[in-house]
Amino acid sequence: MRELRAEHLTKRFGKTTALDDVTLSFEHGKIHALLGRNGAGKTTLLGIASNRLIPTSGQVLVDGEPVTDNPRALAKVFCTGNVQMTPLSMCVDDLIRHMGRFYEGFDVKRALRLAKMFELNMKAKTGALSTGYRSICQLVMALSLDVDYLLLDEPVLGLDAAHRDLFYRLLMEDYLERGRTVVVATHLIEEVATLVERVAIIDEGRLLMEASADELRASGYSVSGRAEDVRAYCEGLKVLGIDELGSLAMAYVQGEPVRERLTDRLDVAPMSLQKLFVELTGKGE
Amino acid sequence: MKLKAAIRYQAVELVQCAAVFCLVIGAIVLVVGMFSIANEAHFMVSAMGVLPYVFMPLLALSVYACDTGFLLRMGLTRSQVLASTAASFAAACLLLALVEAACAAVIPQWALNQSLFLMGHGPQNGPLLDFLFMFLGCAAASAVGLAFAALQMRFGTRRVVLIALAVLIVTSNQLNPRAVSDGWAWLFALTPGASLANPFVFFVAVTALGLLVTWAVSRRYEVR
Repeated sequence: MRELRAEHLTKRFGKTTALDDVTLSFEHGKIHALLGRNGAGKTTLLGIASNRLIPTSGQVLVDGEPVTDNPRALAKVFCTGNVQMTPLSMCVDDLIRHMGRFYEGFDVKRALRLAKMFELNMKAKTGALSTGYRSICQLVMALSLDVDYLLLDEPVLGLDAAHRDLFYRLLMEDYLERGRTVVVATHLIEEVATLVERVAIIDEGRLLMEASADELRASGYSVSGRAEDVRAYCEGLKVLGIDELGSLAMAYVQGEPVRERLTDRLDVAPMSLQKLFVELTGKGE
Repeated sequence: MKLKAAIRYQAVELVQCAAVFCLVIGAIVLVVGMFSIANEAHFMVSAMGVLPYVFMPLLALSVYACDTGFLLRMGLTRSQVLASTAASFAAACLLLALVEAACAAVIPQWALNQSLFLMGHGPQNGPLLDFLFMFLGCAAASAVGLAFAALQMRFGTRRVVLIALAVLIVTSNQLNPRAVSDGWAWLFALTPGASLANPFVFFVAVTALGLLVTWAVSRRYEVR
């Protein structure tokens, strides 16, 4: 089966455990969201998948082959991220030139076109770019490559609304054209909620949940109304959390609504991925 | 393809640095020579041939961490990064050795005043051995620089410098200075009876050891 798979992946940095026995799969040909709070282990997971980091135990497999120091598997993966790995003195146009030499399927013309669309200064040194343009520079490289697995770690970090919009549009066009696997690691959940097909949530280095976006949305709901009515409704149910404001309350409940308990005074609505994520990770963003 | 691209990327960078270094040294020698002729005085900068052995490890220290990060980003494995680095440094050493041999062959004063090998062993040994001495010597110096850079990347600069200093101080206290100087003279075949092959074997051994340490330390290197 074509997939990028983490098997019993553990990564420790000294006494800190960044990933703790994580097993999850990113199926080929889908857009996945990897959600987690700051320090949850998203960047570490993608770092191992792109050979930047070495796992303490376990492994990441790309189409069945271990990725760590494996040129064949590495040729299928490209990861963007906030870790500075390009020489600071290298200009954007030089980087594009080098990408063309290192990756057979790198489309230089497309890279130049995308750079123009994002108004990226080709003569600027990568070290002198602002956070937003550093992200853009990496996205331009990523979207011009024909690798099977594109790992985007906080892809819209520092991007303004117009550039974020452009990026999501280009990502969708790219996905429809190439049908490759895209993993978006982020905590801006609502922005990717409409794009992604599958969602994995990690917290404190452990996998909390892995399901399709629709399954996740359907896995819970919110019920709102007067506080005493909401509390009465929630009795005995699996409640993720309750927000109270004066005499009103909104509860987030896992499972399906219990028709018998619903009254005219209670409103039921689907739960957003953002809310589900916040309640599951339990501390709020 | 990636390895070829990596060697191209690194070799161009390193050979350019080595070429600039040669131009600077050449300019210094030329200016001092012209000054000497103009003033009818005997000014001379001697033993400039020692500078490549200082330059190459400094070059290794300054580029290895940055290049490793970039090449890992470009999808190379750690072994490929080391192979590319070794090949690229070999190219830079080759340039320095070619320039040295050319100077030894063309400039009459070079053998007497600048070339470490020919100054120590006599101009009769010719440019070919001088070329080999410079090539292997620079390779050994680069390998030591790479090993140091790899240790720095893995364990941090402060720890590595402190341990290196401690080892140096303890060793220099334990060893008899006369024995050390005799040892060096024997290694570089400067004592009667010592084989002329000694420095070449020594350089090869240091290069191998340096690359082995670099590989052992950086085979689990991570970019954080």
